[in-house]
Amino acid sequence: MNSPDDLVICRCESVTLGKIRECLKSSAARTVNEVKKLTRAGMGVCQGRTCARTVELILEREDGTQLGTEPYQVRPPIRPVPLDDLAAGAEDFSEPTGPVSVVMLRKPLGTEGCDETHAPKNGARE
Amino acid sequence: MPNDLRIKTHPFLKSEQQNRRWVSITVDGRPMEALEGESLSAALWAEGHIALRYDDGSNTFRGIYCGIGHCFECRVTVDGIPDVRSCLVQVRSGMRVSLQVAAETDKDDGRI
Amino acid sequence: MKRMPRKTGQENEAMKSTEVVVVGAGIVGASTAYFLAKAGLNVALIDCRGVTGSGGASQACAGGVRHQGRVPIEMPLALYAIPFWKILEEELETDLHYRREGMTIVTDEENLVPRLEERVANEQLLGLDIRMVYGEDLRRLIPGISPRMLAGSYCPIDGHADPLRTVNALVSAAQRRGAVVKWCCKAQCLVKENGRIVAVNTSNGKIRCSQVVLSAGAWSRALAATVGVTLPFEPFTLQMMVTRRCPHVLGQVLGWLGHGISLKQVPSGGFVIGGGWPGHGDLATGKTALMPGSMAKSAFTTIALFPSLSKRSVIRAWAGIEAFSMDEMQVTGPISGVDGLFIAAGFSGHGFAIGPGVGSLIADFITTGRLSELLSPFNLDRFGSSGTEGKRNAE
Repeated sequence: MNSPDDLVICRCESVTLGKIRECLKSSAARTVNEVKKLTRAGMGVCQGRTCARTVELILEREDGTQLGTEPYQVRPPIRPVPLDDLAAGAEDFSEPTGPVSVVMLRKPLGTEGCDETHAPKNGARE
Repeated sequence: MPNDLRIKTHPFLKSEQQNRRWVSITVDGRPMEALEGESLSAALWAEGHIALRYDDGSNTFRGIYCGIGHCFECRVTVDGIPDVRSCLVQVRSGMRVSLQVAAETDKDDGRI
Repeated sequence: MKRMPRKTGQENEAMKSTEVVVVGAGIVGASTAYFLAKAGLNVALIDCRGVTGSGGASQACAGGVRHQGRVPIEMPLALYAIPFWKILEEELETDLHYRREGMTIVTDEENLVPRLEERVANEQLLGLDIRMVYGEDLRRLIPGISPRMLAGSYCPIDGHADPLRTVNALVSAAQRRGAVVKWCCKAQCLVKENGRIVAVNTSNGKIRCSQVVLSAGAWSRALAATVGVTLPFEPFTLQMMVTRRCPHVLGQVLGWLGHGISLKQVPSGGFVIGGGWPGHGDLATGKTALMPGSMAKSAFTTIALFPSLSKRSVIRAWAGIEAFSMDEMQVTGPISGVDGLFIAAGFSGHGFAIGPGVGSLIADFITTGRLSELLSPFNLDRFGSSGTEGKRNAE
């Protein structure tokens, strides 16, 4: 290893400390999840089990981000699952009935509005 | 008994070897002796298989790292199933192991 | 604690005014901001999320770049927009992992083969390079495809690209050309005076502008409502899965008529599995959760289509919220009664491939005032009353 920047932080995706530092320097990434998406650190087969804590520490030391500000987003499956294991029992699930299609649009449109405290009322302006 | 790297005596830990029997497995088609029930990664290490796979992202060989099923570095193909964490697999007689030392983007075992 | 220098002071500065505010930094917004900046306009691209987005459609996108299988009125737009991908990597100076090795939509049902044939014939008439492939030819074309597939519609110029890389590259390129990008800047409402846009109120203060491009996906509806415009959109959360890296065996994108699957193998080796399966999503927070039934059924469909993947492992699933319009086609166009407002949302799950092209057409409109015919089928008016408050406000 020639310099600290060569240190491999994410073994699965071979992301070095230098790459993470470069990401923090040249992009607007400020959280572990943003660094993950831009450098691939934490996107490999172990899904951040090995490197997540280290990336958080790097952010704390190099960027002042407090530990625990935003945890690594963990998504299922929590460990790799072969497709045939996922598929077994597919018929047992009652939902969903199928992929999203126009058929699902038959329900009436919702009435969600904007952030009402900020909308001008009756055309009134600020 | 093969001349292996296993710890046979220890100042205060009892060796597991007395309770296990030797079985035969194949590694990349070649026979290898191992103790039934020991972790496959330990068996491979004991016989000198330190490099278990080739990582073509970094062009490096990889092997055991955490040893506890956490890091996925020690993955090999067992009985046709790829990406098995060898540190979590217990040796059974007749097990067929393929190391994934060809680049992962090449065919392993001729299967996809 | 050592702090890295922030990228530019602009990120934290409250911005006061600009020419165009583009709301939403997904594929459409990022593309529009890039082409506007390239044309020399002052642009502010704002997004309520951070730099890599989350919860929206572009980040839960399968990355397909396809001509085939689109509604016929969209084909001229697709034939214009998709060739952009050939030059995009060079233009944006970034590897987008774009591959153009074809897409085939297959069927295993005899009675559906004529449907495929009919669509192929129609698309050929519209000018698309596409043909039918049957039986053994199909199996030779796509080694590994399930032997039960009888025929497929093969378009050799379809392909795929990486959505995250693409959106990031467009944003960076827009910045290099002078666009101001404001993350964590949530648009709260649009402000109009005398029937024209004058500002956008955001969580970081008011930005005065003369034009707004509303490309905020599922969040566009609420924002349009603040100026009395009704967008007939429903939010739907779509799920994706990706497998471990595998040996490269698939170059094409695969679809299966009547089944929810879009299967491709990306350059880094994983198989990306889409198909429009629903997840759970909360529009207010942008948070999504996975629906296990969707994962199971999607996995089932994948193995039925490409059996050799049965032992390959899914390592991650994720989801994003997309805006589906009442006819599953986007709304693109200016809004009568609200001068300066351009809506570009509701792409209903098929906006990625045409996003860069649409962005360039929007920039053309804003700089020249002329709306391309390619966009006119998608005007809001097609839904009847556009829902504006009718007359211009007499102020």
